[in-house]
Amino acid sequence: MKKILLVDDHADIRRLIRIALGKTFEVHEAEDGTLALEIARRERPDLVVLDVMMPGALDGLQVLDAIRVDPALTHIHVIMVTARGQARDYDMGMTRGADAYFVKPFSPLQLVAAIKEMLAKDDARVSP
Amino acid sequence: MNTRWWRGSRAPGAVFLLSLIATFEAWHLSNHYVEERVGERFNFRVSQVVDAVNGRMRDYEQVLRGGVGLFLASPTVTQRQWHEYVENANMPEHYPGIQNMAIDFPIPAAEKEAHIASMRALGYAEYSIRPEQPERPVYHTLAYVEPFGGRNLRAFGFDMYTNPTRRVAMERAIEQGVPAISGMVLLAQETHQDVQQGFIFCLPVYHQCRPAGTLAERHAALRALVCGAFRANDLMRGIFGSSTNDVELEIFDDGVVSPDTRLYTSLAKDSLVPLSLSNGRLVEVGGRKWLLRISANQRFLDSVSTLQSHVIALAGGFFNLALLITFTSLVGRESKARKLASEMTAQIRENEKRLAEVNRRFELAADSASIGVWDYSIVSGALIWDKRMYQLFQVKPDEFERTYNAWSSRLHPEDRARAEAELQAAIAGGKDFDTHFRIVWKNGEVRNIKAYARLELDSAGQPVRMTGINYDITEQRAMEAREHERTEQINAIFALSPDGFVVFDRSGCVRFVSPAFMHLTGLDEAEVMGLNETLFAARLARACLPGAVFPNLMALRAREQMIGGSHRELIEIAGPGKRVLEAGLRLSRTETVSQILYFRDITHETEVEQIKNEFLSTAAHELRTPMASIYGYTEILLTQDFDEETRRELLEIIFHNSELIIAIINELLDLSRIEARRGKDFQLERLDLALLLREIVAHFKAPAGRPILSAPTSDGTRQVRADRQKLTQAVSNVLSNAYKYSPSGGEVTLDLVESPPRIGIRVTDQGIGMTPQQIERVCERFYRADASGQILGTGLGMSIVKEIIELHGGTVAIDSEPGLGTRVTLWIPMSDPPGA
Repeated sequence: MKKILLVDDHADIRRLIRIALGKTFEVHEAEDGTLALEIARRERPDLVVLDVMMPGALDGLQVLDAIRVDPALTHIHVIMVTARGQARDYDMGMTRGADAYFVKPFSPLQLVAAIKEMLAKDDARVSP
Repeated sequence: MNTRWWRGSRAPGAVFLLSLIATFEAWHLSNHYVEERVGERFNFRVSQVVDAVNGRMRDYEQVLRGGVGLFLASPTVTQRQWHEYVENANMPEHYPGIQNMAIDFPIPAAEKEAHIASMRALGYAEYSIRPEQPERPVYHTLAYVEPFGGRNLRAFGFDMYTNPTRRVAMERAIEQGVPAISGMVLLAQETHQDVQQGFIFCLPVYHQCRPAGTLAERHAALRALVCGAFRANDLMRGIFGSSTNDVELEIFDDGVVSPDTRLYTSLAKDSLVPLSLSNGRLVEVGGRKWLLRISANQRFLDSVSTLQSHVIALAGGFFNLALLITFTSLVGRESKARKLASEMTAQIRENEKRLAEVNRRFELAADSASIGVWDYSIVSGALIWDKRMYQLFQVKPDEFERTYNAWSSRLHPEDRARAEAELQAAIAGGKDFDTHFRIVWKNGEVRNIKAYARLELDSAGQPVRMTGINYDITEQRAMEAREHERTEQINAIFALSPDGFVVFDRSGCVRFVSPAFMHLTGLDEAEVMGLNETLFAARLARACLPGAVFPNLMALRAREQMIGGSHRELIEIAGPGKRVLEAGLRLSRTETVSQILYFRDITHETEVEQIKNEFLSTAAHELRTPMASIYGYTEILLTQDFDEETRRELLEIIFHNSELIIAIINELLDLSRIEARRGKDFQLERLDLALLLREIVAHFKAPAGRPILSAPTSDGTRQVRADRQKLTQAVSNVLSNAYKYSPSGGEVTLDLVESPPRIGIRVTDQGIGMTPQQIERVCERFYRADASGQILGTGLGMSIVKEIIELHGGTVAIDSEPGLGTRVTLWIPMSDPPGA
């Protein structure tokens, strides 16, 4: 079972994505950046859904940076989900190594489809 | 100077020998007496002759000068007038020896044909300029010859310039401006009978208005030459007309004794010069040296006794030689004296000419500049004005009393005392009078006069007279005033303009910087004045922040020309506080200004723009987050099936987030309305605060399960002037926060605290509290002390509270301790109770 970490300071959003993901994933949640990194190191998820603007010491982009520089984590897929919708913000996320970028409000179905597609590619690469 | 006949190295020896003989003879004959008498008498005769020749030449010069005067007096002298003048002079009677008096005119080559034609038109069909000569720039012709007739007709149309001897005299006359006598010539009038030597005496007449500084200019300025043609025999016959003469006269031209230079002789043809008693004198006439040789003739010799004649023969020989010796030295001395005298005369004439020229120029200048000249005699009190003074004062000469009062009475009453005092001070102090004053014309018009005068003192140092000038400076003053006014206006515009200007002159250097420029950039005038544009740009660039540096002017110019005035170059000035300037360039086509650089302070604009952008970005974010829940849960509900409980739960999430969006929108609108109106729509009324708080408490819905609020009791003293609805909104927001941020319960209290002249509405809770950093930001828009989203809120409530209270003239004070609670006090000014 693939592991997915949901990082968002709004519980409503975490719950929304969890519902949309259904029962086929092992889902972990974190409400700030520090906790997110801690869970990521412990659980080694296959994919992280990461909000950008969060209170606390680390925002989403900093968490992304930390994942990308950690050899143990760098393989993780990261999907940014953020309320910051300006082109500048999108570029910032993508150049720092995000795999996809969703702007709030987003379609939970599309997000889940993207997640499944990414993980399916992994399986295809691994199995042959 | 040429006196060959006495020159020679043997002369001193001969003199010595002869003196010895003479001394011997004299001693031997003891006849000093005779010797002296004969010598004295002869010398006397010599002097007589020399004086007569000089006198005659002076007289003749006078008659020619009269001709010059005729020309000077009249811009055109006709042939008829010349005829009358000459006829009036009655030459045969008064001036024997003048063959004719003629006028030589210079005729430029271009005018030659026209001149001949005009002369022929006058009836002289045969007239031409003779002799024919190759083409010359200027021809000369004796166009007027008087008396006109007889042999004089031969001179008519004669071009004297073609004759070298005459030309020398003409050139001397023209170039030196002096009467000039020619060398020996055979006059054109000479027939074969009674051929006599002659000479020409000519005087120049110039055009008065032409420059005559250089030789070329004098030639060009020549109007005519007044010429006299003299026949030497006829001339001298007047002197030697008497047959009783006891001396003979010979005149040698150019100071040279030779048969070829003999201009005149009273001796019969071929007779020898008696060497027995003879004397030579050099005279200078018309710039020409004539050597006069005067010799005693038989009649002179006969007049002394036989014995005496012997003595005289010997002594005369001695005398002859001794006198020659004397002459040797005399000639030297005399010629020097004459030369000196001639030079002095020339100098005086030159000075007179210069003076006349200066005077003429002064008159011209005074006329064209309308400068009036006055002369005030301090001794007699007489005031003399020239014609321009009368014009300046608009006074007719016969109306002017020619006194001091006549002047002072015409001064402007306000200037009179001062001008008079200055004049008196000038007279008393011996200093110059240099002032200006207004005068009043008869028609009431006021004019500004500039006055300047000099005091003249007598030998005792007493003031004698004052001479000065006046000129009208009314227009000049008006112009200056206009100029001054305009300069002031421009200066005022520059000084008051919030925009900075830098003006570059035609040479591309900074000519002017406005005060605003210095204020905006922090550069002072001395730092940039006179810099060329490269240096200026570099200097300004140094004052800028990196990344927002002033570009060079060439770039600005290129943009100005390509894009027109629409381009804005933004620069940021380094230093305390941010300062953003917009720079622009305008090219000028005026004479003194090449381009103008202008700077506008857009710091505020850019700040406002930045705030607006941040606000929009934040507002969008705040709206996107609840919208994400609404959108997302709706999609989930539409695509998945849920049990009734879950379905209801999800719908509630949607509902709450919708409420949040509505609240955000409302509060944003509130905030923007409050900000835009800046309290102008506040309906201020006198409110009893305690009563207002009771109303608020009555309507406030505390969260379920929380204790009911209590409000302070009213005693009618705590009054404010406030907008009831706005103040209610502010208090409600604070109360709402107090409950929201004390989720675990605890009491919320509402009090009034007095600290005259203000009164505070205080809300205290026992909630989560805030750190000092949080307190600092709590009134920022969209700032939330709880960022987790646990506590619902827009982040705008405290912003609204702050705006409302500040527009009431109050302040918001927040005290808080994390984990202990928060105390918010809304301070507003107290209002005196009615009747107080």
